[in-house]
Order: sequence, then C-alpha cells, then structure tokens
Amino acid sequence: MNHGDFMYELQTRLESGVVGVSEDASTISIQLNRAYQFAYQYCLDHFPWFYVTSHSFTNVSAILYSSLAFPFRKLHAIEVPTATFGMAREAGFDEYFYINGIPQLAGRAGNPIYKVDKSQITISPACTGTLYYYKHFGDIADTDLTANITTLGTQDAILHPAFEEIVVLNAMISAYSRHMQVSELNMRQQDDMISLIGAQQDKLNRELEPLVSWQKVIPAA
Amino acid sequence: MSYTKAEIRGLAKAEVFSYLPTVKLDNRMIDLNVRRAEMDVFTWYMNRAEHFFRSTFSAADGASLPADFYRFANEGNISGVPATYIDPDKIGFRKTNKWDLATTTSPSYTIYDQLVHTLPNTTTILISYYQMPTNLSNPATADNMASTMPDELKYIVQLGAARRCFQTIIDMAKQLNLTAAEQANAQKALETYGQLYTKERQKGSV
Repeated sequence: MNHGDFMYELQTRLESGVVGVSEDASTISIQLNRAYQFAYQYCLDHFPWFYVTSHSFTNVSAILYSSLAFPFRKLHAIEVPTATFGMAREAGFDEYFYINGIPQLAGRAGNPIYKVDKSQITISPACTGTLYYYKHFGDIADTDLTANITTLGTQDAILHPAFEEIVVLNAMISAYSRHMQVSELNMRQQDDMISLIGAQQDKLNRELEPLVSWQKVIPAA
Repeated sequence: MSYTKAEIRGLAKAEVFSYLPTVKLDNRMIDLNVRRAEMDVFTWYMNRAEHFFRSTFSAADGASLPADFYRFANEGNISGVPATYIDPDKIGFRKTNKWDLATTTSPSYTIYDQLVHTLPNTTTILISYYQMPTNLSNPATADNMASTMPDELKYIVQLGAARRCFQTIIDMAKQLNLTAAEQANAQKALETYGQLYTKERQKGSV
C-alpha cells in the first residue's frame, strides 16, 4: 500500500469509528508518518535486506550522510575492491592518532579501516569502493512534510507489506490521543476515548505477536 | 485455481449477511479485510508449511525482485550448482579473498537496493523465494483476478475476513446506525467467527 491507500483507510476508520474523529489530510499524514517510523523499527529487524542500499564512492576519505541518495540509518559494510581483503573494518581505538586533539585514522592500503561519527563515515586511506547502508525514508518535520507526502504517496516500498495493519492501528492510536488532547471532552467522552485507545492497543499487540513467532522459523537473513 | 477477488469478497459478504442482513459494508473495506485475513493466514501457514509458498525465479545480476517477492528462501543454483545467499557485508570476501572467491562452480547471490546481485557478477541464478499473496485489496486489481494462496486455505481466509468484517462493523456501529440488537448480533458473530477461525487453524494439517 502507498501513502494514499493508507490515508484512505485511516480516514475511513477514524470517521466511522465508535467515536467519529475527523481530521484534515495534513494531520492524518502526520499521524501516519509517526506510524511509519514505529513500524520501520520492526521492519528493519525482520527484513533487514529490504533497506540495504549501495553507494559507490571514488577516491574519497570522508562520505557525508547528506550526500547519500537516501537518509542514512545504519552502516552495513564497506567494500574496497582494491584492498587485499575487500571489506574495510571498523577502526580499533589503538588505530587512532591525534592531530590537535582531532582523531585521525591510521589505515593503509591492504588494510583499510573506517570510523562512523555523527554526520559522516571516514575511510582510511582514501580509496574507491562501495558503501552498504540501511536507508530510512526520512524523519518528518513540518517544513518538509509536503515533499515527503508527495514522495511517500507514490512509493509502495516504504514498508514491507507485512506491516500494513500495524501502521493503521498505530496511527489510529495517535489520532485518538490527539483528539483527546485538542477536543473539550466531558468525563464520559474521555472514558470512551481511553477505552477506545486501549482496544486499539490490544489489537496492535495481537498483530505484532505472530511476527515474533514467525521470525523464529524462517531462515535468518 | 484459487479463489478470485470477487468470489472471496462475495463469501465474506455472505457471512456478514447471515448475521446482519441489513448491514452493508463498502467493497473496498471488505477487500481490505480480505487482504489482512490473507496476510494473517499467510504468516501463520508459513510456520506450518512454508513449502506451499516457495517458488523460484531466474535472475541475472542487477535484476529486479519479482512483484510478489516476500523474502528469499536461502536456496539458489546455477546449472545445478548450489548458490548460497550472503549478506552484502560478505561481498568483499567473496570477490577478493583468494581462498573464498566466488566462481561459477561456487556462486553466491545477495540482495541490496531491492535488486538481486550475483557473484560472479555475470552469472544468472535460479533463486528460491517465498511468494506473497496477490494484493486483492488494491482497487486496480480486477475482480476476476485469482489469489495466489493455496486453494485449501480459502475457507480459513473466508472465516478470517468475516471475523475482521464483524470487527469493522462493531467499530463503525455509530456510522452504520446499528440498533442495539444488531450490535449484540455483531458482537456474537465476532465471537463465533473467532472460535471457528481458531478451530480451523488448530485443524490445519502438516
């Protein structure tokens, strides 16, 4: 399902719920985006290969996350074909040296090493190779919401299809919680909302349960 | 021949009708419930009899994954020679470590960028994978499109879809203007179908 399909389902289920909640498209999108972030964590655990992305680099020592095609989540591996062994390894503490207090890497041809810091990956020595990393579809901020909605709208591959109901239920919980905060509900209505949120939470737990047992049987990635 | 989109929708509708003859759910909502029921049955049955969903496809280096790809099944071969799946972090070793070089007599494959990559790169490999059920909830899917689920799972999908439809009806009680009696009926149906569904799952062979 793409973002548009999720929007339709969430809107329909919210509006027609026991307590009807009507939200504009932008708010619905925000709830959905939060739900994508939640499901992403599970999806990454269960289907890691779904997110592994490659990036070729040529004779550089440092790769900024911002230069990658997709938002960077986690490093998977670095392949350096010209080295004796084709994978760079993470530098040990004894392989750092310092210039003016700034850590530098003491890698060499045939034994390339790397370090990962807040915004970049540094490879020593400067070389050619391929970076494999786990991509993310981006953290959604208000300013880039429109762009993200457009992108997600046409993209079926945000999340593995096993997570559809998990996304919808999670977004419903967010929407109900928001409704409780922004609407002036009397005590009775608040109780209704609390039990509604509890019911969705139970459903969500039931949806997550089979995924845990399923993972144990299928050959590991 | 497995069930079609229209057929399974009709069956779910008939189940709903038997308890709540006056209630009408729109087709798209029923299709979504069928889809979720199929995915429930699929993940459950993968535990019991994964071979039902095992299929193969032939892939050259850089080929796209099939549209129904769920995940790889750790088996592949090239002209009868077994090819193993490796994580992308092992690619370098298989390309440059002289004791572990990938060759046509010792091939491997991996997946990144949601594409198949073979080692050696010029190889075409036959890969085993798990097939996901057809997306019958997609509005673009024609009514006569058949599901890829094994036919023997039709009844349990039907029960699962009906169970989910009753849950939807309970959730939408206000919108659907259900009377107290109808709500009670829906609740009773949900419990009954929950039991039938569980019983059918326990009955499953293998």
